Amino acid sequence: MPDIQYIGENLLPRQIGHLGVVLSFVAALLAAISYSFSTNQQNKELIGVGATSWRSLGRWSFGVHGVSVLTIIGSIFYVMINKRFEYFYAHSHVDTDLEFRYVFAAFWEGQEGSFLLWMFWHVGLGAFIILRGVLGKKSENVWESPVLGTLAMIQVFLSSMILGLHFGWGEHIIKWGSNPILLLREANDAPIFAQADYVEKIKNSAKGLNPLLQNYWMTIHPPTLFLGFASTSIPFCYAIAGLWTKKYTEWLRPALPFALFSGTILGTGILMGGVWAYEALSFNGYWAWDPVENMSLVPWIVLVAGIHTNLISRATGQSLRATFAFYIGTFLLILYSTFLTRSGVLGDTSVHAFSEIGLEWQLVLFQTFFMGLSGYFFVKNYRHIPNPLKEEAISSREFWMFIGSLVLLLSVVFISFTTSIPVFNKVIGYFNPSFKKMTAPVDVVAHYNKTQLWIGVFMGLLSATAQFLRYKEFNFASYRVTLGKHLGVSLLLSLVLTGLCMQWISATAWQFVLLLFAGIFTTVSNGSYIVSFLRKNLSAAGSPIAHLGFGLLLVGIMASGIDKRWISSNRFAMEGLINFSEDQFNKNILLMKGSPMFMNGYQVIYEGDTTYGLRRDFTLKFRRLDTTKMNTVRIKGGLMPALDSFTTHPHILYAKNTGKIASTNPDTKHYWNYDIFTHVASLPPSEQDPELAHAQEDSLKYVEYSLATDEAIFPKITLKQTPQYSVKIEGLDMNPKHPKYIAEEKDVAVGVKLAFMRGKDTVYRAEPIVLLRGENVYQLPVTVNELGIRVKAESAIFDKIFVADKDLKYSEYVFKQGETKQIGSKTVTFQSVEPNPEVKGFKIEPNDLSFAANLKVTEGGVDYAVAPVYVIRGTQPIPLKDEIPALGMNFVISKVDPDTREMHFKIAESDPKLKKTPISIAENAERNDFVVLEATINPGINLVWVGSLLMIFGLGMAMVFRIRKG
Amino acid sequence: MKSIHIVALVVIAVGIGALTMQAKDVSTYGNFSEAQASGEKVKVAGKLAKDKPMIYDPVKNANDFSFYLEDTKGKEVLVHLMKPKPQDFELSEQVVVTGEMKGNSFVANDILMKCPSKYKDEEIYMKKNKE
Repeated sequence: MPDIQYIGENLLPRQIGHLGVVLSFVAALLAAISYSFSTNQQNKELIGVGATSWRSLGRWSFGVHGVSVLTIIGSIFYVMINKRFEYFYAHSHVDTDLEFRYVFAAFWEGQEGSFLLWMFWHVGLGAFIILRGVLGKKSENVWESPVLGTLAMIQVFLSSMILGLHFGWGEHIIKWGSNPILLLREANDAPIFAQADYVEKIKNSAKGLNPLLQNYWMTIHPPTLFLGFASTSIPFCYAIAGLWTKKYTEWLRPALPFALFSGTILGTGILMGGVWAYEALSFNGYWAWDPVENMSLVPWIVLVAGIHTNLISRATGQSLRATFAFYIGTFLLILYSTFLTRSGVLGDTSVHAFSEIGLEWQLVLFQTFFMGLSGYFFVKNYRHIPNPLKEEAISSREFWMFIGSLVLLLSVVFISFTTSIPVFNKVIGYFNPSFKKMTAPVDVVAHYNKTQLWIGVFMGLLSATAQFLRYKEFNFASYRVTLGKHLGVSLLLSLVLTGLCMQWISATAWQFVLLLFAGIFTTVSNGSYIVSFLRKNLSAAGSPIAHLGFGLLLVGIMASGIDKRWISSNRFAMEGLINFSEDQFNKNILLMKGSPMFMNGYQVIYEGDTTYGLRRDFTLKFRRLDTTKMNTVRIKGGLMPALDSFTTHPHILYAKNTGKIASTNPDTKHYWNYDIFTHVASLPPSEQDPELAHAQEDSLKYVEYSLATDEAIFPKITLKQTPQYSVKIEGLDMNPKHPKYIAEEKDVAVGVKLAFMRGKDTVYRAEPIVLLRGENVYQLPVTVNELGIRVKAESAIFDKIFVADKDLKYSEYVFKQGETKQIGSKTVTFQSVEPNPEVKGFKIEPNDLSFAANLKVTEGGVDYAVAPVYVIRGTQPIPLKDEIPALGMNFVISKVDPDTREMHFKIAESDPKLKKTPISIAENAERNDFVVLEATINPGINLVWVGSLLMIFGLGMAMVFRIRKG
Repeated sequence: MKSIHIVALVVIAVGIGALTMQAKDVSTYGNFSEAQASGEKVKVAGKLAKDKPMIYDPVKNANDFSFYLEDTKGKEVLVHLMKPKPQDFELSEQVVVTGEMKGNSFVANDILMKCPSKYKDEEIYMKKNKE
């Protein structure tokens, strides 16, 4: 539709963005080519003129590429922050209400944004290496060209993911990349784009950010993870550079700090994901063996194996081929992980996968290219990679470190195998369409644990002992005794500690005991290593600290995994229903508002909830009871003496467009040795979904009653389950509150205060509301759960409050300003005159004269304000009535006497008590005052966090140590 | 042959052994008749019968959500999911339940739903390329 002149489009970001997209691709390609030529020249003639001139071209191209990437990101941010919904990416990821602080999260929610984030980090890392080359010694700068050449090749592929080219291939249309800076009308075809002013009209259809992702984790987790992903490229590029330039050992030194950096950051990213899942999502755990989680862990494990063989190679010259293979493997696994999460192949097997954007084949090509490239270099050079003939001694450190790396590799093979089932299905199904699709094991967690437990045992034992060994068996004969002493003491101490831990962790299976021992052993022996050997040189303690952390992590995994207990289980509730097997015991429990419930040593009370916009917070009070005294203490008022009590606030988010529950989010009470995880898993149907609430409301049979204030009646009861009760109106409320009612400025809302009496002294109060908003009347009913009834106020109530003038008897009163008069039981004071008042529902014209009279009415100690208005239009007076609905008083200014400064008021009273108020009551109302609670005790979870943090910290320390050492 | 090679071979052999063990865990989607016959825990993929009642009454039992599922063979069975009703359940088309047959109904302890994407706008279609 090129002939339409669209209104309100801002096309500048599109033009700038498009230029950036094309330029970033072309410049990356040019950088890759220039740096490759430079490398080849360098290989031939060392660093000569040819190499350096190609290299400067490469630098400039990479610089242009970097600026282009920043420009694209800038353009997208511009349209997202300014909510330019004519842009596809803005329309898909933000909406009018999205807060500024979530714009970052919205940016990398989409595939395109996260590709850009990845590229952004590559640009940063590449710029760092270039700057180091520019500023450092010229003769030492042999790595820039091959490393940046390889990095630029990666950027070529990443840039192509956002190219957004379409071209024909026979009958097919090939889509090459998905451009993030397209206009909505370029990305989609819809009738609305035939209208010139569509920009105004599409504002409300913007999709916004998934409520589950609107939290700070989504702001910090993806950038960290992507920096982790991006940084694995650098050791890979160095490995390729080593093969390309045939400097098979020299690359090990510069690559190591980058590998340690990558291990630190990727580890942090993965850990953040675990903490996010545990703290903010309803998973009740930090790791679920989900395919996406697995595929972020697997490259990290291979990277860690690579770091170990890198150390071996540098110290002894052994394991060099393995180091190449591990660093290359890390990057290829990152690409594989990218393929799995972004191609849609995981489909419904993962909770994390991106939604597809049709780039499967492009991702396959990305992966294939780098497999081919690294395979070519590796195979071609394999025989030339130095491999010492002298073998590693069995009591040397390198021997066991290498075995450890192999075990890590096994772990990776096991995890990747099961995770790749959807890929096997795709591949086999391609050749054999009738093939019956495989699926992950019935119990995924048990499946992975079965193999990973042994990996854990081996890794624990290896990292406990290998730390004490020395490279090349240095001085082994005299060291042997010291070694034996240290290991022996650690072993004994660990055995004792394992015994003690078993009092705490109920590890019943011997395999679990073994893993527990392995964890404790590595913790103790690495601790003792630090104390014995590194006291004076703590900066070198990165490795033992990381291994100590690994040991603590193992213990934490055991404690939180084996001993997780459900507080919210009730094993009696299921009896007689269906014959359930034991693992299907109840994990959730129903909790009525205000009624304390006993469960597994706790007394839990659902005290109430508060709604703020789309968020609803629940208040749950937990009291830990002294179970030893359960039978001896008499329960008074349902409360038993508690050892400890605390409150948690899990919450629920409702979706903006449907009003349904969008997510249920837990709240966790932390103690030093255990956590209490609490989660509202479900609500009454009418609180889950407005459609269900309507259906329920429609199914009720209301009966109308008319009551005078303070008159008690006995409504008709037709159902057996409804108890005998009476109802009375206690008054009207002009400022009513209701959980579903959010007050707006021009609302007229009336609440009817009702008291329901059952027996002699049981009273339940309820306040249904009728709301007049604009021209619509809404009824907001209330359920009296104890009686199983629902009650609403009828709209006829407005006839009673706003009495028609013809039914009123006015009397005239004359007031001076400041004068007070007694009218019946009310005290009326004419306080002041306000010129040019604001009047609701009446338009004052420019030449009108107007004023309001402010009056104060006091009745029974309560003050009411009222302000009738007098307008003079030309010579015509227009009096505007005002009233106090609660008192039934009406005020009109009838005359103003400018000489005496007196004001004449017509005042009429209609006793609101005299007229009857209509209400409707229905029986058989469903309860709406409960939550379905899931609560667990998670012991030892802090060991998981502390252990993981120490591993990451140790890696970071090792990086600093290696950078300093050079 | 270096001793490290021997150890490496042992590790690889153990690995292959463990991997074959692991491969045995891999299952395929079953159907209700097979589940009835074997009595084992299986995964059944099927289509949600939207015309039949879906019942979750937490007041009676907070851990029982029941619905009807039609498996790939066209057999329709009452499924008891031992969890609260998942959000947006009625929107799902394909459902995979993990559990076992008990009498004439299927007792599931886990569920995977394939929903049409929540954020897909039905009215907007991908522009057809004119080239």
